Parts: sequence; C-alpha cells; structure tokens
Amino acid sequence: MKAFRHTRGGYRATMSPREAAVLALVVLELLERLGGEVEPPPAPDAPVRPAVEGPARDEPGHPAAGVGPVDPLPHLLDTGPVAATPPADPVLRRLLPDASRDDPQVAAEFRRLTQDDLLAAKVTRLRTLHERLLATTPLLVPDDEAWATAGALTDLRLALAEVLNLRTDADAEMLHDRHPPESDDPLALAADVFGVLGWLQGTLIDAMTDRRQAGPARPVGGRG
Amino acid sequence: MPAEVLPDEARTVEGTTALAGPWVTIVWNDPVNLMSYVAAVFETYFGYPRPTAETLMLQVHQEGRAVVSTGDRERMEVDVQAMHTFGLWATLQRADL
Repeated sequence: MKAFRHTRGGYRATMSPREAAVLALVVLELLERLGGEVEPPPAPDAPVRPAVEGPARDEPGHPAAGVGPVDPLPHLLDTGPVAATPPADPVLRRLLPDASRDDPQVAAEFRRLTQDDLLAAKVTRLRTLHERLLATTPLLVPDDEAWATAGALTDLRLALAEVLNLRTDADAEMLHDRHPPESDDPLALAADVFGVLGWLQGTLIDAMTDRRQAGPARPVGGRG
Repeated sequence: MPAEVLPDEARTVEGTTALAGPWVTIVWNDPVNLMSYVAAVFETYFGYPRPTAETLMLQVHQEGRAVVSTGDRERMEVDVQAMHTFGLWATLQRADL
C-alpha cells in the first residue's frame, strides 16, 4: 500500500487487490452495523406490540391487573421513529455522540434534530468508499469526494477504536504492544487495520493540505 | 491526542439564562483523530487561517478541549452537527457556563 497522492482526476493510493478487499470488508462490516440501527417505520396496520413481555395488563397474572386503563401518555408523547436517546450499540454511540456533557435535554433535542441526517451522511460516504475500493486499483478518490473519504476513514477508525477500547492517547500508543501484529491475539487484526487506516488517512490529509496551500483558497463544505 | 478528565464545571444560576447570551461549540480531545485532520477540519469548515486552526487543534490536544465557535444556539447546533459529521466529538453549551 502506498500513500495518497494528488494526480489528474483526484487522489490515488496504490494498493493490492487483496488490501483493497480487506478494507472493503471492514467498510461493509461497519455499514451493516449502521444499517442495523436504522429501524424501518412500522407498517400503518402493524399491531401494537406490548413493550414488556409477560402477561397482558388486563390478565389476572399481571401485577397491575384491574388497576385501571393503561396510561395513554407514553403513546401521546411518542413522536415516532426519531430517536432522542443514545443508541445502545457503543460503536454507534461513538459515531453519534451526545452533544452535551451535562444537559440531557440539549443532548436529546440535538439527537432528535440531527441523528437521522448524521447517520445517513455517514452511511452514504461509507457506501461510496466501498464502491471505490472494489472498483479501481489504485484506489481513486475524485477531488470532490476527498473530504467524504477522509470522514469515512475517521468513522472506520472510531468504530475500531471502540472495539479496541481505546480511551486515551496512552491506549493508542500501546496499541501494538497490547495486540502484537500477526499474533494469536483476537484483536491483532483490528489493531493492524486501525493503524493502516490512520496512516492512509494521514497521507490523504497531507495531500489535500499540500494542494490547498499550493492553490488559491477554496473553502470546502464550509459554513455560511 | 491525550484525553484529560476535566472536573465538572460549576454551573451558575441554573435555569435563569436559558434564553440569554451566546452559546459556544466545544471540541473535545480524543485518542483517534489525527492532529493534521483536526487542524484541516477547523481550517476548511470554519474558514480559520491556518495558524488559528493549528492553535485551536493544539489547544484541544494539550488542554483536552477548545471553544471553536460562538453564536446563537441554532448556529451552534449546525456547527456541532458538522463536527460530528467530520467524526470529531463536539458539544454545545451556553457561553456563561
């Protein structure tokens, strides 16, 4: 595998078909994980399932049997499939973090406003990277996909970091000591791929920065 | 980038400033994102000059966090969403916290 370089038509990184196939598999694995999180909206005529398994409330065995009608409020407050709580999957939580450390209301409102769009953006650029990895050797990233590719590489590394339990810089520095390459350690491959993706992303960022500094300023996907 | 555990910040006059004052977007350190990537994000998304982007990146790296933008709450939600799209961990909060 060689570093990304900018050439006519975009950013190119030479890698063997086998290396590209391994990376494509890692991308696919994350895509499946993200896809599993997106719940399809229930069919309009789908029966309403009880939230808790067990005897129905109006059956004699239920602790609240005979107490009165089921509290309707949860249904009235149910705004649909838009999530306001963090995903249960720690990898998903890493990709869709809380937008507030100390205010659950701010975090919940942000999640309601943005989570679907964020997830869709991440899925889209992972799909594109997957297609590019399988389509061309060397890997070719057009200029207008460079940031999306860099972002997809970050998401892949964030997901692997969660699997590898990387919490601090010290964890990252000791990664290959803890999971020696080509050892029997079950996380050795994940650690190796994490390192390769970081190196590859670094060469893409460097190539993008060199090009930006060489040419006239041109904001890419900026605010405003 | 080293992750530092910061003490919870003192919250003052809880609830009385919900509608007043500017908000800020904070980017937090993490052990995954490359320093070059973080600086490039600050430079291209916010349009900061390269030295400013690098200073903010180093502040995240060394101090554990940096305020990267200031504005009204909706504007900060846009910026936090952008940072999350880039894969950086960002939060928003009132500027007076």
